[in-house]
Amino acid sequence: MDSTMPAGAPLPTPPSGMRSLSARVLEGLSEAVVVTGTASPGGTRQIVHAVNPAGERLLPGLVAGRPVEHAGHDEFTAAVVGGAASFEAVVHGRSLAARAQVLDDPRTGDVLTCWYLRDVTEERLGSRSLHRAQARAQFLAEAGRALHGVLHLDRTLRTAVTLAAGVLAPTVLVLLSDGSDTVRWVRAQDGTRAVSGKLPRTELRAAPRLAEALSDDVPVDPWVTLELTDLPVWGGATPDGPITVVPVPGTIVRGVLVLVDDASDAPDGADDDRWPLAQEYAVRVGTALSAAALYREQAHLGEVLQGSLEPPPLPQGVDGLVLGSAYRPARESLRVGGDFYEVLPVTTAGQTPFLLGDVCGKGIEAAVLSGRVRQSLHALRLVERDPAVLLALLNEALLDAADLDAAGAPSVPRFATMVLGDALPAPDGSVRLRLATGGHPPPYVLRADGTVEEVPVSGTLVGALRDADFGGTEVVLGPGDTCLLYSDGVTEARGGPRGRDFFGEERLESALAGCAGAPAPVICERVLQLLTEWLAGQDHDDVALLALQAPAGPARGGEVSAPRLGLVRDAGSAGGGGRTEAA
Amino acid sequence: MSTRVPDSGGQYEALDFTVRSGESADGAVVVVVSGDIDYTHFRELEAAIEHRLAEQDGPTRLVVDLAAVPYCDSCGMRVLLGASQRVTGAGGTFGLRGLHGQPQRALRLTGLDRVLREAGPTGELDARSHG
Repeated sequence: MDSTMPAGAPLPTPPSGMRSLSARVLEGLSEAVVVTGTASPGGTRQIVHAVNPAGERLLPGLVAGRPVEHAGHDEFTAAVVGGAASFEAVVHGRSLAARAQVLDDPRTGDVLTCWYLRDVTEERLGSRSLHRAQARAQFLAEAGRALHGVLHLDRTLRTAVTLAAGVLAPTVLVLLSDGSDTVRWVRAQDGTRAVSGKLPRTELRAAPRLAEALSDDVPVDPWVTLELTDLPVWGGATPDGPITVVPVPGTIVRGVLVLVDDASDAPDGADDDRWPLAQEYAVRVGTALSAAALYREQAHLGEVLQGSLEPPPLPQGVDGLVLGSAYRPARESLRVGGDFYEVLPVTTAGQTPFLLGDVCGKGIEAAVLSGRVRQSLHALRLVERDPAVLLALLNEALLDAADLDAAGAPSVPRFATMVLGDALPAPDGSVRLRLATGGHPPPYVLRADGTVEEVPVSGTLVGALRDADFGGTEVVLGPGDTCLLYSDGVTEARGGPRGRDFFGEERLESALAGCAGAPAPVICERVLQLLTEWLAGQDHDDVALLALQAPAGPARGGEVSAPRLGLVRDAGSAGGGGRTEAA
Repeated sequence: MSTRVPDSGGQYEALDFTVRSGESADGAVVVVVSGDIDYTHFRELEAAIEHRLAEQDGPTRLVVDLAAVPYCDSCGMRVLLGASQRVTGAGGTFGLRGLHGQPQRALRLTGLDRVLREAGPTGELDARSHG
């Protein structure tokens, strides 16, 4: 008698040789097999006909010849009685998966069902942890996408807490220090809008561990959680659940990610995963916040530089001279350009010195160089008045300064182009201009009758060559005549119907011709307006315009205030330095 | 290089910026630029020239071909001037080829045409371009 078929059981009776063979085959199988069927042909009661040792291990207590319900495996019983094709169950902590194979016994006409069982515990665990790993990776990838490129500190903070709330913990708080006197905080609860605020650093006096976590690269002291609950950042809902604190590393900013669980709903078994996930998330948040902080610093630097390059206001009410200007810096704030102009107060000799130029490069370099050019000229003007000689002296000064900078190493050339000169109003209402250029587009003269002339003056750029020469010339402006100085940002502005064509000298000349009789500020504004239309919203380099005009009427007046054309805002106004946004 | 730029205020085809370089049969280092040399691109040209010059022993004949350059701003001129000063300072020669349009006008306007001269059509450099 076979051990799986105890004596006394009401067994069907296949030929004994056959039965013992199949029993032995079953016994040797590593796969768990259970055979069920009715106790007798045509009966309804399901009994276990056979179970092999592997089957006994998975469904302990099954005994061949006993009713299927005998061992108390309810899922198994239900599957057998219900004639299911498969079932899954958890038995003694193991996950089982079984499928049914119906066997007809041709001799007896019995219908037996063979159940093949598998222990799928490891698979299920594996796929669960795979699923969790995938969810983690997906969360981090989505967080990376959402945080990347926000480049705004407060928005990045809000995004960081909003993304994490409900995933890492029901309530998430981030505290961030950028080294200033205040600490930013943002708090979010799953499904609600983020709330934010700032704490004066002095509030952290009672929270030394938090202050340390926000300033030094040290492990977070676990007792910091006690300090956190006392901070005025909870909106009246002081956390009563467990708090986890994860440092947010950063290069410019430093913070902590605070995870608050509900008191009633302690984190489940997935908690093991949460700490590394929170840490990895905190690293991404730190990177995004550092980028945002860096961007903010650079933008601020750009603004300061832009401010330092911004042309000073034109002098007001110069007798016998009408001034106008327009300045439009390149759009990108971090690409501060190098156009500059200025008109100095009238000298004791009655001359009004002026200057319009362009330094090569952009950014800090350009700011430093244009500052050097302007400061050097202010000093040189104390000893020299002739524009061409001034340029030659400036050229030497800049080359000497560059040699000092380079300290013997081969230096990258740094140079400027400019037109400079002075204006001397005469009693008859005319204005005598002395001009010199260094590598700069020559100015135009717009006569009162609409004729446009290019001033025949040339010279090499300033600060690049020892062997330089600078041409000087004199121009007399009759009443209503205007001299226009401009930067190459005007003629080299790209736009037009095809979007890629230079504005060019010819268009500038015809634009000027159309301005005959207009006051100097209006001329600048009109040219800028035409240029804006030409650009049609495209990027451009710096644009600077400076117009010097002999008053049109017989009466000698001061500066004429700019009538508004209405199309271009605040450009070339009498105050000078007017910023113009693309219309 | 079929691209040519009509004069003043002219129209042109937008070009991608590329720099190719190599040595001519007579041993000159030739750098062929295509596209605008402006703030966005001048560093690529600077790096390409730097790379070529670093490979050279002794005086170099450097030729920069601007036939496919419709626009060169002050950043670009700075690179050309820097290269010229470096090469001539080491006893070599510097020449431009295919200069036309805005870059030609800009060099004339700034007086840089006195130092950044045309190389001969075959890459043989004009003796005057020394120092």
